[in-house]
Amino acid sequence: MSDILTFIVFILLAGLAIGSALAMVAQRNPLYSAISLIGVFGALAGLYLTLAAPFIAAVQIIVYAGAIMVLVVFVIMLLNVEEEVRRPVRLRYLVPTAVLLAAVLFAEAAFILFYVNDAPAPPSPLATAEPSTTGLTASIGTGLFTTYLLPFEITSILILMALVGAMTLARRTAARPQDLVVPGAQVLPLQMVEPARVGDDTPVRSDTTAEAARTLGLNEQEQTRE
Amino acid sequence: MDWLNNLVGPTVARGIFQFIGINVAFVVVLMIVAYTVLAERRVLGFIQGRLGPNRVGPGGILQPFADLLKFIFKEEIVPDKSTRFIYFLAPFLAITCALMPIIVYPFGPEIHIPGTRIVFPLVVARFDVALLYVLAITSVGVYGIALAGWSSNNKYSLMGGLRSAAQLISYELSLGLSLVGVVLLSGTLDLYEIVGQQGGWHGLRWNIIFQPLGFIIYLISAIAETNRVPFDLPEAETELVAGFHTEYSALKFALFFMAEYVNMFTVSMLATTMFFGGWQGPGVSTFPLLGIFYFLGKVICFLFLYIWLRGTLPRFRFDQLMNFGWKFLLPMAILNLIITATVVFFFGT
Amino acid sequence: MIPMSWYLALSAVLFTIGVAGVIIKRNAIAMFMCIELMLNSVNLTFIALSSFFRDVSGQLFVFIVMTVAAAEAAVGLGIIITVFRNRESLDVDDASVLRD
Repeated sequence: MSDILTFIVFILLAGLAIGSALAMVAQRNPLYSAISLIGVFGALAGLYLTLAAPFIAAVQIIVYAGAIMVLVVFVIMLLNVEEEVRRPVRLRYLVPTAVLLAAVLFAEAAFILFYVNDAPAPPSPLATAEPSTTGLTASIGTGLFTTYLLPFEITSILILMALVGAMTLARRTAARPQDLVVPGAQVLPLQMVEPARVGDDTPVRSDTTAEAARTLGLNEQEQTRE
Repeated sequence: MDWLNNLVGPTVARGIFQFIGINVAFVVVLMIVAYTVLAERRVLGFIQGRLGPNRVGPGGILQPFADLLKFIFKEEIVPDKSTRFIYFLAPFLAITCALMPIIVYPFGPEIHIPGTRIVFPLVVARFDVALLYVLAITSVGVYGIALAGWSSNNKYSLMGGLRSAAQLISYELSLGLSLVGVVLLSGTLDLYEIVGQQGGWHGLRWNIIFQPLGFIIYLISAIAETNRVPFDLPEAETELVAGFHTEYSALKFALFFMAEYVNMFTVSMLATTMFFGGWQGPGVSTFPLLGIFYFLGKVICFLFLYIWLRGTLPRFRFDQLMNFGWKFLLPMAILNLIITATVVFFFGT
Repeated sequence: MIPMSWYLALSAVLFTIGVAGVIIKRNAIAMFMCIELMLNSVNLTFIALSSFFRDVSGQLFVFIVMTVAAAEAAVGLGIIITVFRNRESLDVDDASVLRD
């Protein structure tokens, strides 16, 4: 009874995971891709539950669905990304190569899998009947703060570096001169600003309304009346 | 439950019991939520020196049902250029994520039905990572609002959705960190056990005594998480029309509306469970049924606090909100965590 | 009980889809998401093995992988936003020059 139930749950979750993953690659709208990926993460969290790892399942939802993907969706909304335009692909052979390489990779994995399956099962405590406690919070905490203390600390340093890095990247570079917005400043063609240097036709930025008006030969009162 | 166990086996028996429990819990919660809406309007009326709705039924007691009927019979309007699928998905996400955490809150102690051997705890599901489950569902809840804002294809909706995503990410950190202090004291993530540990001193050994700073941080970030005044920037009507639900009408709007109030309710339940001893109180050990009234009474006090704040406080500006969350609340939460950890390390729990 | 090889096969399928996605996709955010998918398929392997051998180490690895993924997301999205600011495009083919 419970075996059949587990089987059905596994098939459903695995199907959801594979289907969402395929949908993610097939979609051209990044937001739809992101939603499909959230589906994959949800299905994986369910699979972790069937593997008796409730702590990791909860953390999976919190970290992936709740933090990383929210960030991705936020960026997609912020940049207002449109659908990918189907333009002439520069690397035309890329798609067949991808499919071929993926097929080879999958065949390798499948081969190893069946090979491993044929090998005699390793002696392990699999046969013991009592319920496992490995997935529970206490066991994770004990492992994390005793055997794996050093990796844990290194991870915290990594997080700190990521924090600083993200802030440095996201900050607007402090007031470059051309970013300063001067009220009334305009970009004028060079022949108006400096007729002598007409030759290269890069636009030059004038600084003030008054200067722009003088260059254009306008009277300043006319300028302000506008 | 022995007869049921003998009839269909323990797994199915537990399933049936949990199914009944889920339905009872949802009905109770939704009724309280419906009357919270009415209470909010009446209390706001009182605060602002007017009456509020009092026409439908005696003292306006049937107003929630009248509102519901009105929502059902309104015309559904779908914007022309909206992204249909996500536009329909968003309200369901919002209400689902609001309702899901209810199953882990303990409403009362173990109840023993006199004259039988039936004993059952007043909690639908009890598991090892209950608190993480609540945080996980809460963190997924932001999609409902963000996607609603994006799919409506309206600039006010988009701004509301963006603001809400930024706000929820920012305050989730403080919310989680403020709860870690209690977890450190209790040494478990199981909500039922956390409540059980607060039973000393005649049921008054509540965690707020040991975690006052943590509670204040939790309260502020919980209000921000539920998008309530003074943190209701995602739907600041003076700037953004109605924010993320500008384009929603009829029952889909009702779902967002309900989700907001259910969220208020679950956040209050979490505060009660973590800081105010859940169903613990004087006399619970002799009369276990008293626990339900203690629990719901404490939750209702929190709901009143929400309404009171709404009637009193003006709204934050967005940059003030962000500065407050990142530069004040988060450092304070970390400070609270450090102090708690030090005390627990040196003096034990 | 589901045999362990099924979990490993599912993990292989997901990893393969992720690899194909990274190669096919030209949008920086979509490529980022494909990488996350690959990391997740590896996590599934860890959890499956950890659960079948009753050893908690696998789950701790997954915990650390998630932390790394979170750090990667923060920095990666920061880079993507900066690139978008400079080039008004998320196509990786457009970001072929290392200066602005």
